[in-house]
Amino acid sequence: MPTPRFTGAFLTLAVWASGPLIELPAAVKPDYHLDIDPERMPAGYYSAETPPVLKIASGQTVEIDTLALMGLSDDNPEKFFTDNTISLDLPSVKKMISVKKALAGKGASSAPLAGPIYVEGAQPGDTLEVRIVDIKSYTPFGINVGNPGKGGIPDVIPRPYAKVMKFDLQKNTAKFSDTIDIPLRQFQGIMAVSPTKERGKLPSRPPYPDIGGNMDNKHLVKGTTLFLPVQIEGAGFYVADPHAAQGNGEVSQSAIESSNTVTLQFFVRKDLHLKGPRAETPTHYIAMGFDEDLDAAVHHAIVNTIELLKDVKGMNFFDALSLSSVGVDYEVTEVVDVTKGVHAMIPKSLFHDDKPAPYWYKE
Amino acid sequence: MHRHRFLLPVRMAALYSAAVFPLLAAPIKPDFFLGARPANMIWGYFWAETPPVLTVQSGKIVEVDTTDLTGIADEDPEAFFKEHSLPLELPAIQDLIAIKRQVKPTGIRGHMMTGPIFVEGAQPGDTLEVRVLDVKTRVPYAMNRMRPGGGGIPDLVPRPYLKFVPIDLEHNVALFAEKVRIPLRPFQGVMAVAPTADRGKLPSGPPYADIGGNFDNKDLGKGATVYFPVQVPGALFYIGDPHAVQGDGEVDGGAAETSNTVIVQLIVRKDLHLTAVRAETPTHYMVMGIDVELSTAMHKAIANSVDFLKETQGLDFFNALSLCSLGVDFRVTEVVDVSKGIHSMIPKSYFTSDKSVEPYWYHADATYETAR
Repeated sequence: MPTPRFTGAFLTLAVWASGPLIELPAAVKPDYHLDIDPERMPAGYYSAETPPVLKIASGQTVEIDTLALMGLSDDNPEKFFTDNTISLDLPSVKKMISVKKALAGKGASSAPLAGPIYVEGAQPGDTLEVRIVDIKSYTPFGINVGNPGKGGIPDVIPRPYAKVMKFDLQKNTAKFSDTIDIPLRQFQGIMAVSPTKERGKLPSRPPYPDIGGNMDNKHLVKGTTLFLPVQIEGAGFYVADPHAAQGNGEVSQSAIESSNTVTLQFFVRKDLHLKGPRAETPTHYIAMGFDEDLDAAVHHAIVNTIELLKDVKGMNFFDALSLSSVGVDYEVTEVVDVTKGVHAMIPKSLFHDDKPAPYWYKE
Repeated sequence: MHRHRFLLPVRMAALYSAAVFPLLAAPIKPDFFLGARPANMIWGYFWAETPPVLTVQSGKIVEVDTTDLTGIADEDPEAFFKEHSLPLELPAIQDLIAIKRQVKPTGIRGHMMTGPIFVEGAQPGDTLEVRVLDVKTRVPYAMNRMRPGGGGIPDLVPRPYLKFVPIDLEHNVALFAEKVRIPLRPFQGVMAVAPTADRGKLPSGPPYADIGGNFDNKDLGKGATVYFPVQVPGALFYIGDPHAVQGDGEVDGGAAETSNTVIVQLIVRKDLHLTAVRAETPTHYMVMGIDVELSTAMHKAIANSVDFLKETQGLDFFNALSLCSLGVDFRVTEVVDVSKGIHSMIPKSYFTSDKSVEPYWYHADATYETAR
């Protein structure tokens, strides 16, 4: 994440950067569309040996449909929609039903993984920069569930529940009740790079402190950049677990689970060497900590904040820790994915650099 | 908590309209002033039997000075200020020097607090509503301190470290480093009511779910309301631990510790019966969870948020939990005060269709005179 932000190796960027300010083109035309193909969906794990579904060059943009199949049963996926008065004629609904049927009995999770995407030139030790160019809901509804034994109060929840919400996609809100609308802020719960081969098949439920995964971080919305440390040649990028909205904590065990179409731009960063995921929004740097124990997750998040402030702002340990205490907000990412998460929100506005690095995203 | 305390944006907008606002803009003068003088300080603990330094009626507004002594040496209190070229004649600095010289240790380590304030009519079972009308930092500096064995990474701090941070009071900003400036958001780390007499002297270091205390909750600044379940007659309100600014987590063990002047309105609520402290801001309801284990603090914060939504919004358990999951943010309050804290921020904007509620008291443009 240090400046210069751009390595100059990317023609696309060179074009963007040619004006007085970096500006997005009027509409980004993705280089690829990755369709949902149940035959090629990895069933709930990350592995270095899963063949890539797409090969792209650094700097290219991919539009991907990601599905949330929570609430659909293997034997009668249509029932979910008829029970909730959702038209079976919607193209997105037809797609969900066909994918659910194709995946039935294959042990895939309710949020099948899209990928892996092979990014040419990516080598272990590099960083994969993933710019979240756009995310839109793919369906006009979503579901939130909770189950005894799961979530943030596993001992208190008396029985399973499933709450289906209809969306107003014009207003980008979910109808939670007659009187409560929830603003939608679509993001992907899962983004990851492949682990090394010797780690075998890593289940996709928990997040990992190095490869990312099911981070369930609500700040990874349109306009955010995720940085992941490449472990294998080509990086092997996965995306899944589309959410329409979520609070910090994801305390019931789930967000508004809802299919998204996400547009991502990928860069191989040879100049950046990370141990774990970081993110950047138009307004904040984000450092993360993961652990089964929430106290330890905070500890990791603090250490990673200090590392980030050293790398990006050249601060020493004491100033970095001091700033973390007086000017950085630590939020609970999620407490429900076995491995819990805490993230630090570091305001860019604190830094009055002579030449602040321009950020790619413009509203 | 009470369905008539919601912010209604439409109504607020009307109140703020240009035609109406001048009526609201007359400065408000507090009814009482409580200085940070040695006689008004209580060092280290909350106790039912501490004699009150001020008695007020419900609804009265009190201007209170609060202090932090970090960096000031016992043997020569003036040296610190001379070293940093701070004017000794500044009243706030005179207060600090006098307190350092005259207030004797009580044997219980904790905060140098102002109070307690006896609120007439408050009885056990009532609620003390504390409106934080204003908070202003009154010295041009803050201190941030860390030490091995303290804070959120106690194993990694190699040596004690004390950072002096100049504050530009005119621009309301902490000059953290040459190119790092932090806008001030002053608040009090400690606000509490006295515990019952049988609990003796409770040290002010950790926060307590029922009486409050060292919450170190950065959202309890100007515009916040804190609701304390009254434990003893008169409530006995304590206030201290002034912070100029802090992040959620307070991860090195301290905030930007400074001296503040706080204006609070103290209201006895006979209609409200709580078992734990709650709070609200102009935009959010705030529910807290406190425990020595952060995971348990999180569990409590979730369970308490669900209870809050059931009680105040009439949601059933499942809808309350669901709303918490998809629309409520859980933040790390602090991880450094022995008992750790998580608080949830529940947006009031979700509930604005309820027309039965009254607007929240806060006016961003209200001004205050001093009563000193």
